[in-house]
Amino acid sequence: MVILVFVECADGKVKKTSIEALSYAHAMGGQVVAIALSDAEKSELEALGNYGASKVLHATDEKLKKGIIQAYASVLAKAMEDESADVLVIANSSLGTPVAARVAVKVKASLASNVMSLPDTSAGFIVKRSIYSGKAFSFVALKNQKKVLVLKKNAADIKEVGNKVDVTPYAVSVSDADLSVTITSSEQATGEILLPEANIVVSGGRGMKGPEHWHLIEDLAKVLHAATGCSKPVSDMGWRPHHEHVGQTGIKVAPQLYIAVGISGAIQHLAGVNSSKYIVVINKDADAPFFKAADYGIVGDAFEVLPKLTEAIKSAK
Amino acid sequence: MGRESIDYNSGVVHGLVGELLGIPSVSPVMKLELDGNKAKLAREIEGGKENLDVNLPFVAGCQEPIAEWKIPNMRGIMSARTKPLKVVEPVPGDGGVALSRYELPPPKGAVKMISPDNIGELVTLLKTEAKVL
Repeated sequence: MVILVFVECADGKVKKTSIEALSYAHAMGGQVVAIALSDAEKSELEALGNYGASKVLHATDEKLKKGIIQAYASVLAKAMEDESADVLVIANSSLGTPVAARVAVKVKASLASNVMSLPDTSAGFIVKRSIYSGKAFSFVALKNQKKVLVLKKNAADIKEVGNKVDVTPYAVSVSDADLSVTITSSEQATGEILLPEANIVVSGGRGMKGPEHWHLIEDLAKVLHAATGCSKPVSDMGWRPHHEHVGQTGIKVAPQLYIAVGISGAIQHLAGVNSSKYIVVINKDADAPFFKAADYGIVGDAFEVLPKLTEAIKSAK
Repeated sequence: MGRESIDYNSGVVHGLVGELLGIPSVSPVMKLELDGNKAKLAREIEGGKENLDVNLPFVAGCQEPIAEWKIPNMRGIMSARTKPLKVVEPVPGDGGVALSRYELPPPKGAVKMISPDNIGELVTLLKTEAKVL
C-alpha cells in the first residue's frame, strides 16, 4: 500500500503537524511518499526520511507558491494517481482540511477528518474521530478503496526512523480554472509560535482587565516557549487579534499544557481546549466553571500570580 | 454555509460542495464584500489572515466575524409565516463512509488546587507529574 502525505511548509520549514502526519503514515505500514508544494528548504525535505518517508516529491511551480485550495487539490489528486497511492494523509490546518475535501471528491475517496488515532484494520478500515468539539468520539468505517484522512493534532507520536531520502522534483501543470481565486495579500504574525502548533499555550481572558496588561501573559509564554491565546470576549473587544481566539468558533488547540488566566471557562471556550493534555486554571473566582475542567487550579489574582509563576519557572529551568 | 458544525465539526462540506459543483470553495471566511460579479474575501490562516479575490459563483465556509446578527422584527416574523415552505427530499448519496459507533471521553479527574502562596508546588507538579516543563 502506498500512502501519500501532504507536507505543509511555513517559511521554508516543514510544519510539525505534517511531521506527525508522516509518523502516522509510517505507523500505518506501507510505502510512505511525502509531497511538498510550496517553497521548502532542501535540507528540511531531505530530513523527512528520518520520519518514515521513502520518497519525497517537491513541486516547485511558481503558481503553487501560495496555498490555493483548488490548485493544491488538483495536484494532490494527480500525485495519488501517479504514485498509485490508496491513502492520502493530511494534517488539519486552514489549508489542509479544505484541500482534503476536494481531493476526496476528485478521486472518489472515503473521507474522514479530525482523525485521532491509527486505523483499526482488523475488520475493514475504521478510524476514531473527534466530534461535537471534542465532547464525543465516533468510529467511522471507510469503505472505498481510496481514502483521505485529515489528522487532528497528536494523532500520532513523532518517531525518528533514521532513513535517508532524496528529494525528487515533481512536475505539475496547473490549469487556469484552478487559479480563479487569487490571494491578493496576507497578514501574518512572524516570529511567533503558532497556536495550532504549540506544545504550551498561555491564554488570557476578561480577567486580565485590558490589553495593557498582556505583557504578563507574554512574559509567562516566553519563559515556557508557549504561544499566546485569548478568550472570545477578548478578541471581540479588540484587545487581541482574532487569530489568537481559542474556542469553538476560533482556534481549537491541543497542546501538552494549557494555562488559562482570568477565563471563566464558558462551554464554547472549553470546546477549543478540551484536547489539551494538562490544563492549569488561574482565576480569582473559586466558582469559575473552568476549575471543573482543570488538572491544576489556583484561586488568586492574576496580577499577583502571573509574575510569581513566571519567576518560579525561570528559576526552575 | 458555516465552516464546520453541519458535518460534526468535520469542516469539509464547503470543499465537497465546491468540488461537486466545479466552483471555488473558500474557508474559513471572515469577511465578504460583494461587488457585481466579484467578491473580496478574507480567510483566516494560522497566525493571521489572507485576502482573496474571487469571481462568482463560489462556496464560502464562514466563521465570525462574518456579519452582524440580524434580529427579525415581529412584522418580519409574522409575514414569514405566510411564505411558502418547500420541503425538498434528500437525495441519498454514498460517500463511502459508515458510522459504526459513538464513545464518550473518559471522565476528567478531580482538579488539584494549589495555594497562590505556594506557586513552587505548581512548578514541581508540572515538572514531575505532568512532565511538560
